[in-house]
Amino acid sequence: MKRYRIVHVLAFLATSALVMPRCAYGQVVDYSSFESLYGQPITVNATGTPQRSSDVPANMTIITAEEIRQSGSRNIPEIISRVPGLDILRSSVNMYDLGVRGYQQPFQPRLLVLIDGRQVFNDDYSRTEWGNLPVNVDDIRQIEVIKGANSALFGSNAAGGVINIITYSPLYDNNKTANVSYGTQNTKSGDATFTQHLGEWGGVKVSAGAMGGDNFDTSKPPGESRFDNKPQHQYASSNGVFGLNSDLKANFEVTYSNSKQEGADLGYNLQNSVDTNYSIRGGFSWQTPYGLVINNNYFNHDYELADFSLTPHLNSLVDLYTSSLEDQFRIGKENTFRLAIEYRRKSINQSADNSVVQPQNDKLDDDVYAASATWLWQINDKLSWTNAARVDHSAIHEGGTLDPNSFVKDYDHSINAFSGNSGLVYRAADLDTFRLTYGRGIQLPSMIQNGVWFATPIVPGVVVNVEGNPALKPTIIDNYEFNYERGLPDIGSTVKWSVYYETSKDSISPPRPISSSFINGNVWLLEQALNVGDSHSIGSEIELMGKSQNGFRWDASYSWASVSDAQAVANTLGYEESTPVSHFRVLLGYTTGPWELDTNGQLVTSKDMLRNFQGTSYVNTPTAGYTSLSARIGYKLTDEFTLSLSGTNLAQAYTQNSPYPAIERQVFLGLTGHF
Amino acid sequence: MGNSGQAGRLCMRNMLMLTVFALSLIVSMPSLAATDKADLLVSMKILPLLAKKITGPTSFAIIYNPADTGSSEEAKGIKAILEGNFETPGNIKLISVLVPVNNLGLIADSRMAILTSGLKDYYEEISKISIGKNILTMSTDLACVRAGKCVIGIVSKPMVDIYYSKAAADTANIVFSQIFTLLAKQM
Repeated sequence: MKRYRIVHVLAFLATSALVMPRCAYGQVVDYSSFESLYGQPITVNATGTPQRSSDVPANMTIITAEEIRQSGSRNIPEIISRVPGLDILRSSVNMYDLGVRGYQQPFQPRLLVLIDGRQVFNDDYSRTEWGNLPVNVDDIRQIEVIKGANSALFGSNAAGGVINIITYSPLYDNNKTANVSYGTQNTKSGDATFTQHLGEWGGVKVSAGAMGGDNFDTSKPPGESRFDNKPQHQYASSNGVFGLNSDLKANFEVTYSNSKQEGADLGYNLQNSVDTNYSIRGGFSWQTPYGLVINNNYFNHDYELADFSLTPHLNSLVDLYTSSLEDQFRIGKENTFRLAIEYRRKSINQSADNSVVQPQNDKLDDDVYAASATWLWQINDKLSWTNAARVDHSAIHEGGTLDPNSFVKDYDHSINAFSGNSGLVYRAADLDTFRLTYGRGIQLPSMIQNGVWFATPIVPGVVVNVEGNPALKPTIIDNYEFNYERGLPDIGSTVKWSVYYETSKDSISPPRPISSSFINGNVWLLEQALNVGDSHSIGSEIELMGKSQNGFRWDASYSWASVSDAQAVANTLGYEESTPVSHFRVLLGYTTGPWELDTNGQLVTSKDMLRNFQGTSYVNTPTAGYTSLSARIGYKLTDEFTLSLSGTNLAQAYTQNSPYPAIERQVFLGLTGHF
Repeated sequence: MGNSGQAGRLCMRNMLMLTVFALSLIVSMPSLAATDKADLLVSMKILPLLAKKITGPTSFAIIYNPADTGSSEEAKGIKAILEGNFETPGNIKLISVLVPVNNLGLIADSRMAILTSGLKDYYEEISKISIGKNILTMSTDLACVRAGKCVIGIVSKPMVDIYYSKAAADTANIVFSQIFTLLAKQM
């Protein structure tokens, strides 16, 4: 009978093609109680079921609030780069990209980034504006770093990895904190978070902060010195969770953020940009006899004014509306299911407020319908098997009017994409966990790559005509991975080892010259993004981390990666050359009385990255291997206040970690209060 | 040829049985151990995950077998821990009560109970009374949970694991947050 029922459920899953969990919980989960109960961080975001990171059917590392504080950094990419396999590409004070297991490129499209389950990954160029996140670093409970293709578990564009930033809950936590800091580059920053509980039935949290300073004074190549936006960031956010009754909780969130920066752009040039984002969100979680039902709705609005090498003052307006509904339930003792449906509407409108770029009235709309399902089968006390699948149907429409000179006459098209994950987790003994996973991830073409049109005269008689390409296929990433994790209680440590093989099919290039034609006496150079071929990677990571009773902590790791590109991929994306083969990390820390001392030393081997100078010449630029050293000294003045001195890139005054301008040493003095 | 084939199959079957036996040893459940402070700390951390919160002075029954010296000593040890410098969630103030299994009537005012070792033969009896009084029963003996006689099974070492009997919880009308029931291993 039981078997019959399971077969029915499977049939239902197959026929309805439902698959697609997301991190829809938002802040209705009492992480504090779970973490306290299990003595280690818990995630609810991989399968919907609360799990220890070691039980998740994916390669997940959880960076805790304590580790964030001890890092001394107020930049999230720097904090994340402690995880083996994560490589940072920093091109200015506040312009970052993160590559997962290599695959470094500006405007990183393979990494999905979420804050409390809300996407902050921007669909315009498919990238994350790390310098413009509306979050206070001191309000982050944990950062979940998931490596490998996980689209079926986390959503499309979780192609190479996922970063899920979880902040403290206004209902279950009572985070009240403030920080001010001052440092080199005349950097000044201030952040504060205030939580107010409304009896036992609700809570509201408000965060706000600002940062400003000077650029690094490193020299720039001729012609790029105009890219000199001083780094700035302001943000404010508020969210609340309310228990309407014991079974129903509602949540809301509004955010605003604004930033100014210079740094690497999609075309491997430098750029100036100003970004203004806001979001509105609401949803509920409802415990029903039919399972835990979660609804999540949000609207993101992103406005960017960018000054690219060839395209000055280009305005991009991107809207994303998302609505999802999921149900999580158990059948029998061993089977947990999550079924979800999701609707997303993305739209982009670009214009130019100058006389150089030919202003257009093109507007691209993308309606995405997705369905997903996850099945977690606890086969026995030691062995679990998770399977997930997701279907995305993307219907793209031209919503504006195209210029008669447009090479593409019709942008309307659709894309269907299927992603899946399967993971066996075997806890062979209390201290040993084996994990075998497969993931098929989807990197959908960005809105720009799909169908936006703009033409820019670069010299008299020559017009660069960048157009979307409706024939683009999504990049499919297949990831095969084996992990082993063992607790070593005698030395208070855990050792983790992973080995993986990954293929990326139909990689998508940035817009590149395709053809030329004569129109009205001008030469028009057509540039489009293309599917340029495949790439393969193989690699391994090993990490030993732990702490002792007498205040010492350590985290030493080595990651090795080897990427192999098809020729066209090498020429246009350069994944193979841009992946450092070896990356060593050693983090050491010590706490004694009111003092905390932490250091983070890294050694990265050489790499070559594509670089574009003034938009016309792509050059494979060698970057020598480098070392970096970060450190923090903290002193607890009182129960509430901590004074800290922290610094990055301390080993030398300038660190050349990419073909972009060198990174300068930074030192900060900060005062943090927890109330 | 036929004999060797048969011998081969026999050998294969023995190998298979050996493998199954070895695997069954590996995946066997954690065994019963006396309740210690770590288990009690875990038991306290489950309380905030109840749908109906426990607050203020709360009677906590320690059920033991007076005929079993080990069980009696364990019960005394638990009481000493609870009455020592023991951290409880929120504003819960525990009032520990020793309840011999031959006098289960003493359990009446308790909201929760922990079972010591040496009670295997009394699970049915304890369950009948605790269910009727909506008492949250916890034990480090997972057999009690597996039999649906205890609501919660606790393993605190080397890693925390929580086991949960939905049948026992439903019968005793004890409701946890739904996310907890997804996290705890159901038996």
